[in-house]
Amino acid sequence: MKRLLNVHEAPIILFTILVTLLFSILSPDFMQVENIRLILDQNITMFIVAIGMTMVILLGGMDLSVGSVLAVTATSVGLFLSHGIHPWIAAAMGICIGVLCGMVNGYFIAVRKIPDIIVTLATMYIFRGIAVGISGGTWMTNFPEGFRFFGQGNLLGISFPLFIAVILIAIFIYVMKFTRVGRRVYSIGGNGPAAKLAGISVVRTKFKVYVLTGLLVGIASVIFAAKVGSVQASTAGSGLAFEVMAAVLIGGGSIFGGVGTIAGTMLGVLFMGIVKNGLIISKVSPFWVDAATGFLIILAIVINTLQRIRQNKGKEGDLV
Amino acid sequence: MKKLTLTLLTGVLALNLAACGSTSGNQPGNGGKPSQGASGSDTRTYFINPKSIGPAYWAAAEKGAKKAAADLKVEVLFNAPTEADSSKQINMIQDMLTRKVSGIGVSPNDAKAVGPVFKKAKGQGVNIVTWDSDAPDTDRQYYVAPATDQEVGELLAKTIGEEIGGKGQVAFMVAGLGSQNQIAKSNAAKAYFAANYPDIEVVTTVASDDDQQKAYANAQNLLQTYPDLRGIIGFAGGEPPAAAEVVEQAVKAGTLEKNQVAITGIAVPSVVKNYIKNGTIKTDIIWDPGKLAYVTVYILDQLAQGKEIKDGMEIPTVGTVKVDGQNVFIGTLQVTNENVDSFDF
Amino acid sequence: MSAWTSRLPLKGNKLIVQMLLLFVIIVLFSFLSPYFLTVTNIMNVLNQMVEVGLIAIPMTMIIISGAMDLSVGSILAFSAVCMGVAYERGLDIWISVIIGLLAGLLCGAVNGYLIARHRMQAIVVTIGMLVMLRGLVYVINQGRPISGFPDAFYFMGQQYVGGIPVNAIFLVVMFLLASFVMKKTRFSTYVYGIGNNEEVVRYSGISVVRIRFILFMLSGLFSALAGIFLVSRLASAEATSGTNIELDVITATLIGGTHIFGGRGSLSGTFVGLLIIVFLRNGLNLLGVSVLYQAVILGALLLLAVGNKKFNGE
Repeated sequence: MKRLLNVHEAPIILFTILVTLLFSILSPDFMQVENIRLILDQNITMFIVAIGMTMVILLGGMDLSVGSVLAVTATSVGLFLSHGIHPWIAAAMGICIGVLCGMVNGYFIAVRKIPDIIVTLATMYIFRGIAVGISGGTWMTNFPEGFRFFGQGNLLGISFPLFIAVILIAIFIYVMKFTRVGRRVYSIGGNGPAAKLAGISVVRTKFKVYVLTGLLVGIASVIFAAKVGSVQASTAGSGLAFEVMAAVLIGGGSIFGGVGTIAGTMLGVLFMGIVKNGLIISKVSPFWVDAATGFLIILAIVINTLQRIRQNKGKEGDLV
Repeated sequence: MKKLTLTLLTGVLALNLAACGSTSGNQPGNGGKPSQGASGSDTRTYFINPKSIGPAYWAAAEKGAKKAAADLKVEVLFNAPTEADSSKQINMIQDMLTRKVSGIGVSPNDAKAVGPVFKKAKGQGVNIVTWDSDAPDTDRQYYVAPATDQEVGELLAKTIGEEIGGKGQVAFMVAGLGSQNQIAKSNAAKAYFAANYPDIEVVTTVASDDDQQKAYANAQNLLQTYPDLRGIIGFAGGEPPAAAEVVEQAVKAGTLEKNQVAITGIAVPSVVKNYIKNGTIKTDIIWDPGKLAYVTVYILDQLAQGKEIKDGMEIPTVGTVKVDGQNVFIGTLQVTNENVDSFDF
Repeated sequence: MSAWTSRLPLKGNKLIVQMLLLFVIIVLFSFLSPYFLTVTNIMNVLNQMVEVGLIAIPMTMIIISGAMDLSVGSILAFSAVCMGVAYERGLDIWISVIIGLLAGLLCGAVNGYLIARHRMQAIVVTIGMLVMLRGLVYVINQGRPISGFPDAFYFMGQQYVGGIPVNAIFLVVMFLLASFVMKKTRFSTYVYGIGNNEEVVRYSGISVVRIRFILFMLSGLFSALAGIFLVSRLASAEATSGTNIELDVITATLIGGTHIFGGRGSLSGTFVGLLIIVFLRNGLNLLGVSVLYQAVILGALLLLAVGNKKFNGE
């Protein structure tokens, strides 16, 4: 039991269960298979983007540009499709654009050593401008039937996007836990200078992480476009960065880097998804939805912090 | 020393960007020839200000405004902030007042907040016309609209009421809970239900904050929360397509029967074309935003030349308009399966 | 991190570079638009920059101390709407203003309590507050804009004294005051100290908690002030006001040379940074450049100005 409580994610697991119970009591519709599938389905984009954001935050950075990268990628996929390019090729090209955006971020952050928040704040403006610019102000919509598969298709009995998300999550959990790249990310975030002294190429690892993030956002945006069925370049993914960052930190990550896990982040995303869905399902007044969401986010963080205090009790000094 | 070079470099880059920005933005060549603007030559310049830049609706309006500029041989600047933010919008109007444009057409984000800047404009002799959204009790001279918010709201309520046979649960989807025109339209729709269809219950109003994914999730949650839902009204351009997409997917997945949930709303035909063809949306209410902008420019130009605005006046490419006091109405259109292909916006 | 390595005494030098950049922008637009360098336009710009400017003061201090406050826009709206509701309920306008300020202070206190006292991560707490307060605004007034304030109140945002907007004068006074505090008092030493090395400050027997708390209270107060000036300028308190203002504020602060990891920065730099972004935006507006390109230009500027300086500092 004690060992269970010491699991890094214990508080957020408990809190999620608590919130779930609360919503189940408030509304009988909440704890239905149908609804659970809905919650997962609504948050696929978040899940995938959050994987990248977790790695970035583990490095001690943050990426404010994910929403704009999503907009650029989704818009360009829409453009490719409207020119009659085959859905699979269009999707692949879209993902390449995501990777390209990640390379831009990575170049400035890792190679030019400009602080990540500045770079991503800047690219947030730039990519958004490009997205709206190439869209010409119109919506990307009326996608061909073949493209919809990415957002709505079924594979082996589960929905295709969920399938992709599960595979990606599994891959990255493995990468972060058992491969050299993953351990390097942790060590750079935990203690940069030490990692450098240990012979780890900080530049290369950082660059890789941003490129991977771009790749993940690219995949997410294809699913996003196929699922929602229309893309408005000026607003697609606005607010995504903050939301995903909150999910990572709720899931036990630390903004200072070095602490956090992919699994925890996924819980964080799930938590946010449950809150957003549950508040509407239990027919809370629309005016209260945002207020309640914010309150629950803060509560989740309070609980996380309590856990950290508990774990650090007895250790020397204060905790950050 | 190195810094100095860098700064200069930055400056030069900004210059380049500004230059290419103004050319690719299809703006008048004022940048290169400052003397032209300063002398206040005979080209009249109008600033047409939508609520924001990005949505397809405003892109269609921009085309109309540009067409009017070509037809009337005037200059039109079409610009707004990227988000529907009242203070940013007002900053931009103030900037344009300094530029001494001959007239301004505004679709205000907040009807009250534009009061002071309109007063200032009037003081400088600049004509103000509101379009798409009104700012009553200000110094604006005319308001160009398809119809009143009340009429549009009632029309939407009537459409859905007829489709679902006058009874059942209906949900509202709006762009913003705080947006005046959304409140006015949805209140009118509610009042219409209360008066004509007492058996229709409006279960809730959800807001997307103009975010497509949020609108989509909202619609999913609505279907989940209200299994007996019969109808959805989307009061802004992004809502009906999101609702239709979700309903189509639910029908395909077998969780919802076809035609169980009727959808109507305000949406640009090109965006909802497929949904109308599939029969998911039977009727969509719209007006041509391009024509709306065209009329706005036309009215501003008439005002600038001191000409009279009168009821039933003929406006080229638009047709006759109804003028009621200070309101100019161009009328609404109903988009159905029969005529959906005839719209070019 | 590499951030710590470049602590050369470049502050004065940096300011010159920024001033030069501002100068370049002004000269550039004076050539491009005949309306740019006119008294009305400049007063106009000064009038518009006040809200962002007011919030930039505590934001600079908070960033110097190594944290960040993302909830400022929501605090702005929350205080503005609180003030509006109080006035609607029949209270005197100035009492309503005080209620608005207290509301802001309260939000700041909540932030401060959680971040300083309980050592929670500033970014998450303020994201949470950002969502929650914006929601509360809708709860309080159902999203209606509130207007119809007395003329005496509009004095703050719409009147000119000696040809200069009242609110701009207020902003400059605030900047001078805050600049004085950040240059001459012990408080500033602690703020810089916390940003550079929190441990050392703590071991010197100074209450880091209290300093942090004060900083977030200040942020709440100034956001509320900005909200009140915004209402006075626009004559309307809206639920959506201040959305995304935190990005503008942070951009101004960063262009002004404040280091994102804390420890370095100055209010005079922020002021110049602020002027740079408002004049840039105004100039581009006057030229009729679409906002899409404006966003791209702002981003590029941020990368070049801030990025290169960092690059140079190494």
